[in-house]
Amino acid sequence: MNYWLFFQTLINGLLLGGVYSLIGVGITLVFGVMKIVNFAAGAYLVWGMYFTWVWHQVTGWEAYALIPLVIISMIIFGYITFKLTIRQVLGSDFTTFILITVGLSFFLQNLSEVVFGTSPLAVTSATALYSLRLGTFVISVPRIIAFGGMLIFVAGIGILLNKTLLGRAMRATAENAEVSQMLGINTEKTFTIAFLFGIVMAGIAGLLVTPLFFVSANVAETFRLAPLVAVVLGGLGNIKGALIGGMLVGVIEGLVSTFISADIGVAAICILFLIVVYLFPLGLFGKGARKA
Amino acid sequence: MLKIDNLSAGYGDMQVLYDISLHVDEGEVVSIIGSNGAGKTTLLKILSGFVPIKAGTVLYQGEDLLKQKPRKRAEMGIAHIPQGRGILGTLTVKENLIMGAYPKAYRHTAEEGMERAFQLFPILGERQNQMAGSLSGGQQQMLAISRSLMIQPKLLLLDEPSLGLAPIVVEEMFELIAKVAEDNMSILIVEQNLHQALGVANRAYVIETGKVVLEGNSKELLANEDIQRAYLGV
Ligand SMILES: Nc1ncnc2c1ncn2[C@@H]1O[C@H](COP(=O)(O)OP(=O)(O)OP(=O)(O)O)[C@@H](O)[C@H]1O
Ligand SMILES: [Mg+2]
Repeated sequence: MNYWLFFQTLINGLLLGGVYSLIGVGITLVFGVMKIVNFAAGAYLVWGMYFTWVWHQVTGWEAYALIPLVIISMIIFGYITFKLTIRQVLGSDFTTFILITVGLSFFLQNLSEVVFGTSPLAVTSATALYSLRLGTFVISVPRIIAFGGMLIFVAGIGILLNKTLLGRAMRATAENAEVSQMLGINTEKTFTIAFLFGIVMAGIAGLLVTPLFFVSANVAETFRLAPLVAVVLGGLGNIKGALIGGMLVGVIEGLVSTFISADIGVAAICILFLIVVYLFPLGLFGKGARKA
Repeated sequence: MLKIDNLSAGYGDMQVLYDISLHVDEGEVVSIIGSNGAGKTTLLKILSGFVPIKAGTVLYQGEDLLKQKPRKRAEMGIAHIPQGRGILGTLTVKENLIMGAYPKAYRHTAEEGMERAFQLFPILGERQNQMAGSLSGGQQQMLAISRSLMIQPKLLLLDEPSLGLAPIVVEEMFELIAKVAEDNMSILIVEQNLHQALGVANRAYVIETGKVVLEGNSKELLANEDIQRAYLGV
C-alpha cells in the first residue's frame, strides 16, 4: 500500500467532504425545523455557482469577495422559489414534499441551462492555482478555504441556533410547532427562514467550489447524492452528525475512487448508505446508534 | 372575559362537541369536568385556534376570538398549557422561560419574569441551564406554569394539570393555581380530577360526550348527589 497516496487522498476527500457537510447541514436544518427533505439543494448549489459567475463578470472580483452578494442573491432567488412552490403546500404530507422538492430540483437545474446555456463557464481565480506543501503532501488552497469557510458557516449556524431568539424560535418550532404558536411564534416565518438558510448554505457551497469545478448544471449531479447520504449518516436533523457525515462521505468516496476505481466512487457512497440505513436506521449518532 | 355560545365542533364527520355554551368572568376560576374523550382538549384547542368549529361563537373581551391566528393569542393575553404540559424538552429551562415572553410587547419583561419564576420555584433556578426534558413531571408542570406566567396572562387555559402527577404533587399544583388566581387572572381548567378541580374553582361545568350536562357553583356541585355517584363512587 502506498501510504503517501493514501494520506493525500484522505486529505483531499476530507476537504471536499467539507463541502458536502455545508450542504448537508443546510438540509438537516431544514429537515429539523420543517420535516422536509430538500432534494433540490444540489440545484441551488448550481445557482450559487451561476450567481458567483454573474457577479464575477460584473465586478471582476475574486469569488470569495462575492460572498455577501451571492448570499443576497440566494435569499431573493430562494424566497421567490420557496414562495411559489413549497410555501403553497405547507401542512401537506411527507410525499408531497418529496415530489415538490425533487420536481424543484429538475426545474431549477433546467432553468439554469435555459438562462446560461449548456457550455461550462469558468470563474477565473488567482487562488485556484495555489497549493500548500505540508511535508510531502500537496493541498490546494481553494480546498482549504472551502473547508475553512464551511467551518465558519456551520459555527455561525450553531451560535444562531443556541444564542439568539430567532434560533430558539427555530428550535422550538422544530420540536413542537403547535406549542410554538401558543407562545406567539410565527411558525410559517420560521419555516421560511430555515428554508432560506438551507438555500444560502447550498449557494455558498456553490461559490466555494467555483475554483474547483466549471460552472455547469451538471455539477448538481456531483452534489445531489453525497450531502443527502451525509445527512442520513449523521441522523436527520442532527447538525453535528451532518458535519461529520459529510467529511466521512468525502473520505470514503475519495479512497474508493483512488484505490479501486474512479467509476465506483458514487456507488461506494450508495453502498455505505445502504449499510448504515440497515444497521443504524436513525443515523450513526442518532438514538438508533446508541441502541444498536 | 370569555363567552362561548352554542359551539359545535368535531373532526371530519365525527362530531365531538354539541351546542356548548359557557362563560368565564373577569378574575374567575372555572373548571370543566369530564371523563376521557368527553371533548375537553378539543374545546381548549378550539380556543387556541387549532381546531375549526362547525357552529357557534367565541367572544374574548367582546371580540370574535376565532378569526385571530393561533399565534395572536399570546399577544392578546391568553396562555395555554396544553395536555402533557407542552414543555420544549430540547430547550433549556431558561430558554423555555425566555420563549414564554416571546411576543414583542413582553420581551423586555423576560428578565424580571424569570426572576419571579425562580423565586416561586427555586429548583427551576438551580436547573436553568439544563434541558427541560430532563426535569421530573412535577418540575415540568412548574416550568409550564412559570412559562405561561411570563406574559402575565389575562386568561390562562389549563388542560389536565393533574395528569401523570403523584397525588401529593397534584395537591401542590392546585394550591399554586389558587395562588396564581389571586392576581385577578381568569383561569379555565379542564380536568378529570373532580375534587381538585372543584376545590379551586368558583364555578364549574360538567361535560359528557361533548354536551354540558350540569353547571353551577362549585360548592353546590360538590354536594350534588348525581355527581357524587358518577365521579366519586359514593
Ligand atoms: N385530531 C383528532 N382527530 C380525530 N379525532 C380526534 C382528534 N383528537 C381527538 N379526537 C377525538 O375526539 C374526542 C374527544 O377528544 P378530546 O381529546 O377532546 O377528549 P378529552 O376530553 O380531552 O379526553 P382526555 O381526558 O382523554 O384527554 C375523542 O373521541 C377523540 O378520539
Ligand atoms: Mg384531553
